[in-house]
Amino acid sequence: MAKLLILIIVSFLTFFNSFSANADILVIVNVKNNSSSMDKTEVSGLYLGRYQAFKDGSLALPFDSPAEGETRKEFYNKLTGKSVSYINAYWARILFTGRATPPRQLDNDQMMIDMVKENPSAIGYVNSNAKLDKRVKVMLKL
Amino acid sequence: MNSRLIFQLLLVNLALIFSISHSAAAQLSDTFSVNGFGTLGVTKTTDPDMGFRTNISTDNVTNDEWNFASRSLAGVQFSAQWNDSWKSTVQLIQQKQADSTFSDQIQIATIDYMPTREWLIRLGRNAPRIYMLTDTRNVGYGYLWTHPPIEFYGQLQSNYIDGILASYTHPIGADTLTTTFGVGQSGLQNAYPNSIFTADFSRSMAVSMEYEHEAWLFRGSVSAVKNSNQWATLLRDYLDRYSVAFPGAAILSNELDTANTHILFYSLGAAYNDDRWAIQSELGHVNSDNDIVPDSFAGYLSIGHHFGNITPYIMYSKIKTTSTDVNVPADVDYYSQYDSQLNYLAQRSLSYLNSQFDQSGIALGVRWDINSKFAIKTQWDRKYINADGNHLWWNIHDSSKKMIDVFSLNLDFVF
Repeated sequence: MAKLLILIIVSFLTFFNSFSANADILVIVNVKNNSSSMDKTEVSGLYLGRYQAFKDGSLALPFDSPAEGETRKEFYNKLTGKSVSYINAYWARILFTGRATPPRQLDNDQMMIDMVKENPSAIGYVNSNAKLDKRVKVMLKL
Repeated sequence: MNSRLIFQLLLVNLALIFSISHSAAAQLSDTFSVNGFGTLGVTKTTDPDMGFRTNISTDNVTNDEWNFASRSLAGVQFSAQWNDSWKSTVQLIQQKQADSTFSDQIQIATIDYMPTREWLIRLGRNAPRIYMLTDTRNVGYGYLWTHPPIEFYGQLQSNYIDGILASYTHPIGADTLTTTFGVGQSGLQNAYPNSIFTADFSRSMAVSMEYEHEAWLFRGSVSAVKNSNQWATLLRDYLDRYSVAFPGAAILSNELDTANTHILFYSLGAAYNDDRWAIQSELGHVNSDNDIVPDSFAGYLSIGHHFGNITPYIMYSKIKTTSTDVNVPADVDYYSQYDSQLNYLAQRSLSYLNSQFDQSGIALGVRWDINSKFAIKTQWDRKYINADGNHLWWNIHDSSKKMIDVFSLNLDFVF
């Protein structure tokens, strides 16, 4: 009985850990991007429209996953600590001052990877279980 | 910058935007974008006489019957990214407002230059950012309430600034500091039940600093405008005709002289937003040597809590005039009882010179974010207006102390 209980607990923890591992999000850029790494401040600056260029001055084009999806919700929560409702309202304000344009949304991880590998200006994010292409590189793990 | 120049800038901008939209069709979505926003709203109060309005520039007022035009508006924005450093933006808005011209419907018409990623320089028509929400107060989806607190955002404020705006953003550790400086010309309307004053601010200047630390945003700003035109031209002409016989009429005319007057706006604000709380507060002070614009202190505190897509909130707001009333000069006061025109001129003058803000309000409301494009909000306001303190309201005769409830329901959207 004790062995069964331990097995259940271990299975539960394993499942929970694997679930947590699946929830990790990778921030990716094109392999030609001059940046070697990015911190949360840099990525949130690009995704909140504070900066419209990478540190080397080249134009940055951030891409989002679907608006109502869990990945986007988790990405912004881990990156900024804010709710996705707040992020939506925030972007409505920034967009209509004309200061910056919100990230364009792509339908899934594969489209995100394809966009980033084809576009040196792109920055995106995918779930950590997505199969990455050699033409993209990981800048940050959330 | 006059409206003809703004119109020309608008045309140039639109031409540039549409030429890019046709020449770069392959990467159209990366370089050219069309977005819009709007509100469908209804408002109702419990008072049949005092007209509720969201700011003193508008004659779009609500009484005790449902008003579908009170907050309803729509806007569209075109923007084009020419290259890494240059961008164009045009925004047009349609809403019911006093004496609206096509120029008033142009909210933004700018050519933007970004020499480095820290700098943003915008030339043309910008929405001014006197307070936290001044530049986006028409974008209902962007804020929590059905309308920004009228005790703070209902005062005299420009809708636009024609000129140059420069902002510099740089990190301080994990925090961000943004400093913005703007200079140019602006204007506004000050609507009364019997007249609408159009102000011409020949010089307008604003400096603001914003500091972001984790979930916190702190903001401070100072804005100054110089008004160059006469607002009450006809009234002053009549008063001047009496001034030979009545020196008091000359005094009233002088009080109504708005040319070369100055208005200063000071504000401090703080906001806290995380995945549970939405808290925001601002304090503001208006200081003016224009006797039609009362000096005032105003502020508000709003606290909301996110429960998933539902955010209930509570708010307290207050405004109070600090400048003193103008008295009718003794000779005009004495003889106006025998001369109906002189009496009319004196009363009319005082209705402008002694307009005061003295009211507070509490509000309860809830916002439901249906999705990333639509939000429904409903709000109940209870306004406590002190005697002679109802300048925010559309009112002709009643200056008594009042308590009025305001109910509002909005559907806000963006695309």
